[in-house]
Amino acid sequence: MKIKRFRSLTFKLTVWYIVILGTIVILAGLFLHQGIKDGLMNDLDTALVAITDEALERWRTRGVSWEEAIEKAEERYASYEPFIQVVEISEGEDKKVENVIRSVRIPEGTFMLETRTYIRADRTDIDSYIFRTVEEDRLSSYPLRIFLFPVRGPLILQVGVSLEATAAQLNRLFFIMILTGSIIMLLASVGGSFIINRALHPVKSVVKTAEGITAEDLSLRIDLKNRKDEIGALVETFNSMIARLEKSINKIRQFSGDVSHELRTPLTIIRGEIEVLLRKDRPKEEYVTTLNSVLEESHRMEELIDGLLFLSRVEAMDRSKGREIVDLDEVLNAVIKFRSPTASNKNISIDAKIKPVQLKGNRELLERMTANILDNAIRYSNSGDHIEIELEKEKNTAKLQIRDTGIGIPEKSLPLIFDRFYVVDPSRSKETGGAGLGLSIVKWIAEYHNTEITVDSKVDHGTNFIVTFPLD
Amino acid sequence: MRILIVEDDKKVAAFLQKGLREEQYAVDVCRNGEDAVYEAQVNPYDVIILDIMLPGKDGFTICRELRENNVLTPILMLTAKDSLEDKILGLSEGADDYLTKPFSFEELLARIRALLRRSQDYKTGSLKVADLELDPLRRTVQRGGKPITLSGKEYALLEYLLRNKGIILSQSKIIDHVWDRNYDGTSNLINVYINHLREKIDKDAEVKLIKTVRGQGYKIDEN
Repeated sequence: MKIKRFRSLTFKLTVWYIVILGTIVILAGLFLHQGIKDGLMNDLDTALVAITDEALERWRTRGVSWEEAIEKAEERYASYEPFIQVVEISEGEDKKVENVIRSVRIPEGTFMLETRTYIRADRTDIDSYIFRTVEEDRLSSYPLRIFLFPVRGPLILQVGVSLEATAAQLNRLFFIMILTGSIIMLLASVGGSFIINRALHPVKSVVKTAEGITAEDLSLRIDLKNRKDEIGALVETFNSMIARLEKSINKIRQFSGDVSHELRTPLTIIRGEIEVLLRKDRPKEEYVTTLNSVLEESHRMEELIDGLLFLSRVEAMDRSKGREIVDLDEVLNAVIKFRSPTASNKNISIDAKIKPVQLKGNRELLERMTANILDNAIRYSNSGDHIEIELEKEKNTAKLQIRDTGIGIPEKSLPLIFDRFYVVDPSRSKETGGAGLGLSIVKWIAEYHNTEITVDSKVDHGTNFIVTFPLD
Repeated sequence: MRILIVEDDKKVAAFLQKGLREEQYAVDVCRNGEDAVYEAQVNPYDVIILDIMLPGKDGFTICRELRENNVLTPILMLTAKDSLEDKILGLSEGADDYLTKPFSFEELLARIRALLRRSQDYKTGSLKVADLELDPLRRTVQRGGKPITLSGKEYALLEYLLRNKGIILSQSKIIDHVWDRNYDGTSNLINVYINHLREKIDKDAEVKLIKTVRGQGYKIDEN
């Protein structure tokens, strides 16, 4: 499948990554900017206090005039270009603010603060200093930071410094932050999408391999060279799923191959025998022989198709349904009665010791199972052989034994006899008519009834099928 | 022409043997791979019909072993396996042709004839020497345009001689290719058949085609 670029996981992850990283960078920038701004203001305020202190100190202890004190302080802190001004609040009802002394750089009649601020400062005690930031176009095109300190009585000392230098510093900081932020974002985006691409690369190879896997070819596996991460685990799960699929498809393929082979052989015989027969005129006996042989082959096909249909029908059956109380002894007696003529035709005697047994199961299936075992016993016994059928009740189980004195099964074949289409000796089964499905049906029915089957057999001595039914 | 059938199913082998014998081929049957490899090496078969699914050795293995042992007899695989992979495998293991079951008996005969022709380098269907002509497809023989009726074995003998035109064929070689392994007659029998053939083919003709090479055998040619 082709994925549109903007819908791809790589794209989405990259976008999320950039958004989150961008937010973090912007927030960090804001905090940093604020912190530095606060720091700069703090430094400035310290300087304002120092200038004030300088002026006061001179005026108070050295006994110099305000003019001189202001001038000295201005000289000392020239780099700040401070504005120093002493104002006096007139006494009486009508409070008025007058210039007492001011820095030469302050024009006549200019006050840095509003009148009511001075008045409020006058009323309070000596510690009520004030820091303010104000706009005063006449002094500076930038805002002023002002420190106001009531000296004594109506005298108020104030020092102001333009924020121009601070603003310039903050501007430079802002520019540097934008620049570094952009570079960080750019590098992080490129690097992030590279890392995400790398991390998701195995997914692409998974997709590529998975596209090559079809029902025809399930041999492909995704190779991630032993990755131990989440994608490795996913791939491992995927691979083992494919392996299971391959196994079951191979099983089906093997089965259909077997079916086709089993059906083709009788068809080949029917067609071939008839074609050879029809090539010229023949005595009547030859026609009879061939027709009998063809009939036999059509019986073989019928049995095979019957078995296949049965298996496909029961395999689709719901295992929880179709159970009833069944009298196993009745089922068994009916099966024996139906098979007796075939057995006596082959001069095989059947001896049955059957005790009443009731169990929960499917009557049709139980009939089929016992019939198939008995058919086998008859099929693989010779004239004069003997079959014993015994059904008895034990503690929690019922035990069915079908013993014959027939040709037996070689030891190496025993584990295979329940496989589909397995026949011990192909040439023998073609003469006796077994298609190799009977016992696989028996096994299926046994599993359906939670029944255990064991087989004892010795070549030339006979076979014993022991079926143990649980009773509850 | 002598054919070996390797087939484990008794009935398939039986009708093949019957049908091919009625076509005047000498036919032997093997039921398993071990016997087949042995028989094909000791007897000079002209065609081997080989099943793939056999007890013991399968057809692919038999084919490979025969080719490894320099048995170059044409092999026709006859099998229920019809997948492309099986066909390719069969042909690459040394089989010359492949026919899937069930098959038409006529088609099998045609393929056998084609294999015989190919192995003996004949381009056309009919075998000729001078004015004698044998048509293996219609199973007819004529000399100078006049049809000749031959018995089964006479026909088989003539076909073998014609397919080996100009080559001296010993009595034992003739027995190997014209009769199957059940032959237990004396070599006199061949003399008898040769005389029958001469009676029917050469008696009224100016040029005698069937020649006896004293102490060595027989051959057919025009001079």
